[in-house]
Amino acid sequence: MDAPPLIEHAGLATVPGVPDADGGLPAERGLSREWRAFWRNKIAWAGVGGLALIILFTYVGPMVWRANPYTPNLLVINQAPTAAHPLGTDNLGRDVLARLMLGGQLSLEIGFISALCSMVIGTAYGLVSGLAGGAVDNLLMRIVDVLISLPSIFLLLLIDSIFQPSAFLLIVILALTSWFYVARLVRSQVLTLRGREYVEAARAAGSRTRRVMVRHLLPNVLGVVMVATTFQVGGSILTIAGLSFLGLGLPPPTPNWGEMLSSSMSYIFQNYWWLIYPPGLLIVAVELAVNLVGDAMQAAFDPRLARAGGRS
Amino acid sequence: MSGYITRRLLQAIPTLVGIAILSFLIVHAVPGGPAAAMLGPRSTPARIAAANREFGLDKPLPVQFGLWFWQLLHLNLGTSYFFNQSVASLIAVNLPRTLAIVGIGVTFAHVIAIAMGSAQSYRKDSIFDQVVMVLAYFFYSMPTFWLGIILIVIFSIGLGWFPTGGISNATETSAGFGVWASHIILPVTTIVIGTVAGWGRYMRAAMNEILIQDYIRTARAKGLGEFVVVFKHALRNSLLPLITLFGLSLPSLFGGALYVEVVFNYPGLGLLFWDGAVQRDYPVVLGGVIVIGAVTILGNLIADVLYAVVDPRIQY
Amino acid sequence: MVLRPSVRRFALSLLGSAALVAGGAGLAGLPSALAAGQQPVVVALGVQESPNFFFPEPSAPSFTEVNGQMEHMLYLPLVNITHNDAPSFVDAVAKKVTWNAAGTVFDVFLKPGLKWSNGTPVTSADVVFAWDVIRDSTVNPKAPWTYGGSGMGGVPTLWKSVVAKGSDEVVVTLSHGVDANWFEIDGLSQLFPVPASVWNKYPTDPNQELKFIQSLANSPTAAQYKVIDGPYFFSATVPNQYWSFAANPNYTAGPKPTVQKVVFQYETSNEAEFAALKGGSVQIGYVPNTLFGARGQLTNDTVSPVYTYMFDYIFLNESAMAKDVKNAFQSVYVRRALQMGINQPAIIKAFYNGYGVTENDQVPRYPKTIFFDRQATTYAYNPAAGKKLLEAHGWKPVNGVMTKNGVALKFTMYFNSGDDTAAAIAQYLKSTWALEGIDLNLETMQENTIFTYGNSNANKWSMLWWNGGWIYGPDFEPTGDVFWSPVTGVDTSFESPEMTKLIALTEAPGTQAQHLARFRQFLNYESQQLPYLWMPDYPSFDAVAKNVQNAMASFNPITGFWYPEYWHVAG
Repeated sequence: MDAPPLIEHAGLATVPGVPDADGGLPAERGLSREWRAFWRNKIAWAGVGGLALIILFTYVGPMVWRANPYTPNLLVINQAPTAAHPLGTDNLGRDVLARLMLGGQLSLEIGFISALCSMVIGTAYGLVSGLAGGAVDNLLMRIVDVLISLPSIFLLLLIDSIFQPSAFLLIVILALTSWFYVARLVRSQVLTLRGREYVEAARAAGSRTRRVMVRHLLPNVLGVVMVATTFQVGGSILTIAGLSFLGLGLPPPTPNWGEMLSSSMSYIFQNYWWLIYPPGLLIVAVELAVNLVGDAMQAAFDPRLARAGGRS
Repeated sequence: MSGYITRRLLQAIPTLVGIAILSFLIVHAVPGGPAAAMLGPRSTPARIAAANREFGLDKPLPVQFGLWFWQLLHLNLGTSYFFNQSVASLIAVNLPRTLAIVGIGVTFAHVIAIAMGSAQSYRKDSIFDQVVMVLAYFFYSMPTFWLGIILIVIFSIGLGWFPTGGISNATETSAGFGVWASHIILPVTTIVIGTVAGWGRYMRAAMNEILIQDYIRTARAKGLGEFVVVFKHALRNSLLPLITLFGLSLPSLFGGALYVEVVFNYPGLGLLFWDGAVQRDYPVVLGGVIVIGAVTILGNLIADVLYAVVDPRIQY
Repeated sequence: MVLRPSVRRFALSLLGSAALVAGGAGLAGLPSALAAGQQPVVVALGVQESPNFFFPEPSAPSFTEVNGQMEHMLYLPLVNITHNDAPSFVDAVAKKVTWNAAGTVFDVFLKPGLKWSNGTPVTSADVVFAWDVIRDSTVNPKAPWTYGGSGMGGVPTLWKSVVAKGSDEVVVTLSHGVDANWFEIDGLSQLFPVPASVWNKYPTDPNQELKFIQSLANSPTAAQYKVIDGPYFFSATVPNQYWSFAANPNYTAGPKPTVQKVVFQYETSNEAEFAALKGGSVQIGYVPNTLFGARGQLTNDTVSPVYTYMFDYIFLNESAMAKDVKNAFQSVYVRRALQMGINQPAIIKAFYNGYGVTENDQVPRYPKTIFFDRQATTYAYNPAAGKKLLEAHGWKPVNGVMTKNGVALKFTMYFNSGDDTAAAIAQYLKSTWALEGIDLNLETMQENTIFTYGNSNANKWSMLWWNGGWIYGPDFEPTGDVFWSPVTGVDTSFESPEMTKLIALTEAPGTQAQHLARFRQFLNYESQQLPYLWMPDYPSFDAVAKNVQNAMASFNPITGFWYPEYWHVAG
C-alpha cells in the first residue's frame, strides 16, 4: 500500500491481543552490535543487493546503454521491442529502456531526500516534545495526533494541484506530510529512556541533564528512527509514483516511472505491454528492496518488536 | 465513557476548523480559478471575469473566507461551481459509494488475513508459509493504482469478465444487484489485495502460536477438524488487533481508495475530490477535505470506543 | 484473551451490519430498471463534462458545448445554421428575415403554426422575452449573472431595440449598419425564444427575474421545462451519471422524432468511454487520438472523422517586455521563422493519425464553408529557410541559439498539463525549432492557470499553447471580430490598426460578394502577419453504432450538436 507503515510502535506500548515483550534496549554503547545483527540477516542482503542493482541500473545504466531518452523519432512510434530498442519505443519514438533508466533517478533522489528531511523534522520534534514533557508535550502530541488522523493524500493532492510541480515542491510536501510517525516514535523512545538507570546514574554523577539526554538518547533513538526512515523512503517513492500517475509529477520531458505508467494507460486496449509493465515492475522492485532492508533493520535495531513476534 | 466521547468530539471541532482554514488558504494561494477549466475552448477573459463575479471570486480574500466560514457554521458546504448543485448533495451521493468499497474490502480483507495467518501458523515454516510470505511482500510493494491497472488489463480487457470502471452500464436499460456487483468486484479486489498484504505480515506475527497449539490439541482431543477450529478461534480473537489496525489504517485506506477510484473511474468521494482539485471547484474541494477529516476522526473514535467495549481492561 | 460471548457477538454483528449498510448505501445510487420495449440511444458526453444549465440563454461559466446540446433538445433557435455555416430556417422559429439597405433594421418573421408543447402558439412576445433576459443580464453590472454570449453578435451594445410587431413579427433595430449574413448567424442565432407566460415571473424586476431563472437553471425536471418547442422533453437524471430525454409528441417544427428516448451519459475517462462503446452500452461516443489504433475493436460501431468548426494556435507574447525574448516576437519575420519551424504535416501524421489539415489562418478548411481562403499565404515547414530568414535580419547563433542585440531565442512554452498528445507534440516542436537555433523549454501548467497567466503581467510569459483551440460559436461567422476583440483570448499585445480596420470592414453592410471579398482581404492579412502561430486542424472521431442511422448525416459540424430528432434505430 502506498502509505507509511501501518504498525507504529510508539504510542502503543503494547498492542492489545499480542503478548507483551520487555523493552530491552541496549545501553549507551553504540550500535555496532545492531549493525552486525543486520548484516547477518539474509533478508538484509537480499534488500541491499536489490537496491544496489537498481542503483546500478538507473545511474550506471545510462552510461552503458547510450540510446537517447529525449529525442523524438516519429518514424518508430510505439514499436514493440526490437534489437535496436530492447524494450520498444514510446509514443514519441523514444527508447523505453533508456527512459526507464533515467526515470528511476529522480524517483530515488526525491524519495531519499524527502525521507531524510522528514526524519530530521520528526526527530527534532519528538526530542523536543519528549524532553519538554508536561503540557508542552501534551500539546505537541495532540497536534501530531490530529495531523496523523488525516489522509495525507488529500492534502498532497491539493497542494500539488495548486502549485507548479517541481522536484523541490515534491520534496517539501512529501517531507511535510510524513514526519509524524518519526516524531511519535522518537518521543516515545525519549520517554522510555528518561527513566533508565544509566541516565539516573549520569545525573547523579553531576552531568547536566540536557547533555546527558542528548549524548545517551540520540544513539538509541537513532536506531528506531533509521528503521522508520527506511520505510518512509519506500512510502515516498510510492507516493511520487502515484502523484506522477495522476499528472502531478514533474513536467516533460524528464522521464519518471509514475508518469510513464500514466501515459501507458491510454494504450491498455492495444496491449502495448512494454509500456505498461516495465515501469510498474521497477517500482515494485524498488519497494521490495526497500521493504526488505527495512524489515532487516527492524529486526536488528528494534528487537522489542521482533520478540513480540513482529516481522522477521 | 460518555465523558470520553464528548471530550473527543469537542476536540474534533478545533481540528476541523484548523483543517478548513488550512485548506482554504492553500486553495486560494494561487490565482487561476475554476472558470477556465469549466469553459475550456470557450474561455475568454470576459467570460472568465463574469464567472468570477458570479462565484464571488472577485471579492477580497478575507471577505470570501468570512462568507464561506459563515456558511460552514450553518452546516452549509456551498454550491459546486462545476455541477451547479449543493456540495452536500454531491457528497451525500458519493461518500456512501466510497464507504461501500472500503467497507466491503475491509471486511473481506479481515477474514482473508485471518485465514491466511491461521494457515501460516498452522503450517509454520512450510513451503506454503514461505510462499505466502513472499506473495505478501510482493503485493505490499505494489502501488495500488498499478495493481488496479493490471486487474483491468487481465480481467476486464483480456477476459472481458468485468467492466473497466464506472458504476453502471447503460443507464436505464439494466440495473440491480448483478450490474452493481460486476462493477465493484475489481475495485474491491484491488483494495482487498493491498490491505491483506499489509495486514497479513502483521497477522502472521500476531497469531499467538502457543494459543494455536492449544487449540490444535483441544481439537485433536475432541476429534474436530483442526484447521477449522484454528480458524474459528483465530477469528474470534482477532477482533482487538483488527480494530487497532483498522483505526490506524483509516487514513491510508481512504488514500488508497482514491487511487482505486481514479483508476476504475468509480464515482466515489475520492474521485469527486480529485476532479474538484483539478478543476479548482473550491466548494467541492473544501467540503471534501472537511468531510474526509470528519469521517476519519469519527472512525478513529469508534475504533477507540470499540476497544473499550471489547476489552474490559481498557478504561477511559 | 477470551471475550465475553455477548460482547463478541455484538462486535461481530456491528462489523457485519456496517458492511451491509455500506453496501446498501452504494446500491442506493443506482438507477431504477427500465420498462420493457423502450431501449434508449445512449450518447456519451465529452469526458468529464456535465450539463449544469438548461435555460437556453446561459450564464458565462455555463456557456459550454454540453449545455448547448441540452438546450437544443428542448428549444429551437430563432435562426438556425446550416452544415456549411449559412443562415437556415429549418428547425428554427423564424421563417424569413429581411433588412433595410443600411443594415440597421432587421425584420424577423416567425413561422405560423408553431406551438409550445402545451398548445399555446409561439409568439413574438416570447422572442422579446428572450432578448430581455439577455439584455438585462449584460447591460446591468449588478445583475446576478451575466449572459455568456456577451460581446458576440454585437450583444448588447449593437442592439438598440427588439420590439414585437404583431404576434408573429419582431423588429430588431441596431445602433449602426452591419452585414446581414453576419448579423443573422452571429446575432439572431443567439436568441432562443422561451414561453414568456411560463418564465416571466417578475416582469417589473429584472434582477429578481434573473435570480429566478438561475434558481431553475440546473433543475430540468421543474415544471417550467415542461413547456417547450423543441423535439425532446427532459425526462430524468441521476446527477453526474446520466440525463435522459423523451420524444415530444407535440413537436410542430418538423417531423416527429422516431427515437423515443435519448440518454446522455457522463464519462469519467476516455478509456471508460471506449470500454462502454466496445461493450455496446453506449451507442454514440468519441474515440480519442490515443485510442485511434484500437478503433478496430469497436465492432458494433462505425468510426468517422468529423471536423468541427474550430482551429488550433499558439499564443505569442508580442509586447516589448516579453519574458526572455523581450520584443523579438514583435518582428513579423521572427514569427514567420517560428511558423516555418512547425512541421504541420508531420504532426498530423504522427500525432493525429494522419487525419488533419494544415492551417494558415483562422478559418479551417473543414467543414466546408464559403469563408475558407484557398489563397491564404502559407509558411510551410522549412527550418533551413527559417534560419536563413533570421540570419538575414541580423540574428547569429551563439552557443547554438540565435541571438541578436543580447536577446537569445531561448524561452519557455507553457501548455496544458494532462494531455499526452499535447505533451508529445510540444516535445516534437522543441526538436524542430532546435534546427533553427531556437531553444525551447517546456513547462506544463494547469488548464485554469494558463489564461490567467496570459492575462497577467506581460513580462511573465513568452509563449502559451492553450491546446484546446478556438471553437466557433455563437460567433459562427469567422470574421475575427470576436477572436481579435479585446475581450477575447489572451492579452498578447498584438496591435495592428490595419487588421482592426479590415475586421471592421468585414462587418460592414453590403452584398454577399462584397462581404466575401472583404473577408479574403482580412484573412490574407492575417495569414501574412501571423499574429499567432497556426497549428494543424484535426478532426474528432465519432463512433456511431451501426444500427443508429442518420446520426452522422444529421450531425451539424458548425454548431457541434447532435440532432436526435433525425435518427432512426434499425431493427
